[in-house]
Amino acid sequence: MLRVSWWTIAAFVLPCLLLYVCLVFAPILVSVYNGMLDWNGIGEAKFVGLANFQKMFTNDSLLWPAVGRTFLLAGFSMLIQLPIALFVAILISRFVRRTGFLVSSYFLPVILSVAVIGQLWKTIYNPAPMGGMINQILIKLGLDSWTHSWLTEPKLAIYAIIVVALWQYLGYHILIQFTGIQNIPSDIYEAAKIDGASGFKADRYITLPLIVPIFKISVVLSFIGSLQSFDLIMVMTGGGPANATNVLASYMYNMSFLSMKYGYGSAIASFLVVVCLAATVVINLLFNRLDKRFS
Amino acid sequence: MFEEAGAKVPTTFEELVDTVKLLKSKKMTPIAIGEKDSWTGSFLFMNVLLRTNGGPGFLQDVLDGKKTFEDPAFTEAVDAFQNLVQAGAFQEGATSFDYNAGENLFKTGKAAMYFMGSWATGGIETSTVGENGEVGVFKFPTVGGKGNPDEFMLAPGSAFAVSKNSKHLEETLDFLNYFMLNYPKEAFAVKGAVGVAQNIEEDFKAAGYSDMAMEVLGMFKDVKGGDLAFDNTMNPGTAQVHLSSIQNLFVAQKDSAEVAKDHQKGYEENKE
Repeated sequence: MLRVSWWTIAAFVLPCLLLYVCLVFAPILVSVYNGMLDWNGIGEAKFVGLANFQKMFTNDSLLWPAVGRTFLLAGFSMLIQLPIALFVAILISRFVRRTGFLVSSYFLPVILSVAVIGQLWKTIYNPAPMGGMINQILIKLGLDSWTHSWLTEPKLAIYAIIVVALWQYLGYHILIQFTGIQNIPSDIYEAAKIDGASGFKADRYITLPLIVPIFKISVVLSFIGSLQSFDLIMVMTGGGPANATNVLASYMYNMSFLSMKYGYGSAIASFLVVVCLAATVVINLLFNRLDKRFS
Repeated sequence: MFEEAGAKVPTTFEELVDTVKLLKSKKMTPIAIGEKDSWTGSFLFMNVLLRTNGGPGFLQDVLDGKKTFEDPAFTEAVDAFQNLVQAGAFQEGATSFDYNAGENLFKTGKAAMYFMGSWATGGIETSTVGENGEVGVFKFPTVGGKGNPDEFMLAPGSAFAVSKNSKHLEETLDFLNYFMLNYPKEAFAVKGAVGVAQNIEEDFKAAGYSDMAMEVLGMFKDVKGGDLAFDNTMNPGTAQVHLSSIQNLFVAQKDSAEVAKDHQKGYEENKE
């Protein structure tokens, strides 16, 4: 084994660690401190201890629906987007010769700017007189009663946004899963074929267990990513109408910068950090157990 | 569009609602609004309140503790406003149209009416409908017979502050003086002088200002007073409660007493 001196290790690790602490860790601590202030962002700040956090958990009627919607978005991302991504990745790796084109086209929405996606989907969701595609098709099919104002009806709007969010990152997860599948050695499949298992049966016993580590990456990325979802909501509805599509991040933004309650917004931001950390721990635990079962 | 539908310019709020219903029956969008930017709906609502309150100063009275949001002037305004919304006055999905999209709806001739401040004049008169001379201007009507049509919603444009500790106080004040003297001249030259605060003695019509701009200028001479928007008067916390509440009226009906209570609660929670 190569003996590496502590100094060498430090020289390689320290710069990045320092950068990380300064740019990520320190601001989080500052945010938590700000959460203990009654501050409007520019004026004088009053230290109020845990009053903001107390108000958040007991006296805020808008926070918990926002939390619910955040988890709704995360849940849908995990339970619908990822299985579809895995399925498509399996199909591509088995049936497609030149995979480059297909995978790139699926990946296209990921690199589109959120503003572009927002505008694009607005033309799809707009009411029929404004040229909205969905409503126009429904009317042409004679299904007038199924038309809705997708982005402005309080009960539907969040689901409309969830569809766009799933669409946007589908290609990203397809790429990840696809790469994972490519890395499974083909001799295993050949051995299985001799034993009589091919096609989807082989998938059940070979692909799925072996892709668990890669799938875990997708789960973590997708779950944590949707917990922090902000830009899509802001572009499509701004959190409205009347808070019907607010998620944690957009609620925090509106509180901090529109209602000018920077201290309270920081408290919400700290809460979000804690939620994301907790989710990461839970996901890691679950996957460790799965790993043990399969290896 | 009014001619097409056979509608006439309303002078009372009730006539406005009737006009809305008439336009709606001819499959036209009566009023365009960019309610994703919730201040637009609030602006319209405050004009209704200016009428039902019989004059300006409602919010100031609330701040001074003389009135609360549960005052009949406020609930009447909410009722009238909801009447308008429920009559189908605004385009479908109004809360997903931002300010520019809403204004464009009017500028491309897809809506019959548009409620906005005089800063929008320039944009409208150079648009498709403006160039063809199809746009007229009328004052906001009385509501329930109350209010003075010569009272408008006021939205002062620019404010300047000079720091007392500035190292260049002389130069700053000199510059401000120069700016104030020359701004009207430059604005006039580029046809942007509708609504300028200073008195301009030039002949607007001879300078080529459009008929629509002349109509707006005429209204400026009639101004007898007015009030500021809600979010210019109240602190941000209360303003957000109000903006959300009004935005909500576009998608759901709510009892005006409830709306008043929400406002009062929001005001008290955010009092400093």
